[in-house]
Amino acid sequence: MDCQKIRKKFIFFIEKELPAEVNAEITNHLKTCKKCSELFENFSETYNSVDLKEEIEPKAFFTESVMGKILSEEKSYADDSSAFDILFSKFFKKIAFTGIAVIIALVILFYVTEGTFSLNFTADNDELNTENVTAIFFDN
Amino acid sequence: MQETDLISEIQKGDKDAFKNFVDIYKKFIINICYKFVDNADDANDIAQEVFIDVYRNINNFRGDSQINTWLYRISVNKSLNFLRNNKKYTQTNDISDESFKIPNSDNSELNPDISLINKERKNILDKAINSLPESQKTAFILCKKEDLSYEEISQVLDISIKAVESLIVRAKKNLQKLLINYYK
Repeated sequence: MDCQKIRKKFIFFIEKELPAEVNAEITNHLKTCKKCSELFENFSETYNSVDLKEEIEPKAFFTESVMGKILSEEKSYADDSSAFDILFSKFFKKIAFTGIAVIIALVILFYVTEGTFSLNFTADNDELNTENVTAIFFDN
Repeated sequence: MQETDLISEIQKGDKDAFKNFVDIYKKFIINICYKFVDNADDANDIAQEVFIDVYRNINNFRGDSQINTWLYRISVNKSLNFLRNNKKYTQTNDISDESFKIPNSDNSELNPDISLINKERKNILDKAINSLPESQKTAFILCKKEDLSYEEISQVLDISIKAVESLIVRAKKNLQKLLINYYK
């Protein structure tokens, strides 16, 4: 294998994921090729830094901060929903009162207008009847 | 109190149980997020969001998977969302960029035994990892930094084990190219 092919396998060589014969070939190449050997040294040290298992600690008052956020979120939700309830109930009261008033008004209007129509209708009929009677009288 | 008892207490709305839960899992979650964002302040902020999400959705947890798997899933998603939405992470993925060689201030919390050279090497590698496609990066971090098995990764990411293997092989091939180009 030439230098280019060897270099393309560095990660898999480090991870020991290559067949034994390829592994041996790369090992021998690195012993004899200074450029590849230097490159491999830098490469492997950088790649192996993935194994540096650094851990960080939570910030002070982390738990309190989380609980505070949860409580304030719940409070604002409760405030929103109670405000909504008040608004909603007032809105509904208005709608209910208006609805009842409209129904009463419609009922009164219906009875009043029904009487008027019925009176008009009777008067029209009377007129018609009179005309009919007159027509019949003159025809005869 | 056992893990399942703790969860069922939280599901009943017990805030003290949830406070207990945060105390138990905070370091675990912060460090998952830290593996993705490599910044202690941001990792703390993301972890807070993770816990709020856990609290909101605790009733959706029915114990079908392990609590760790569920926490991994939420933490990974929150971290990836953070990276997607944060310009300071999306604009600096070129590992040939000289500026990232300078160890940043976030490293102050690292183990003081780690030498400056090691910090620089770690920066180069992290930069290369961050320039990988998102799915490859996630699988690689969970495998190499969190030491999860392929099976565990498949559960966290909800993909097959074969798909995990494929993602990790492709991640390694891409890292190989990036690092060789950097040192050539």
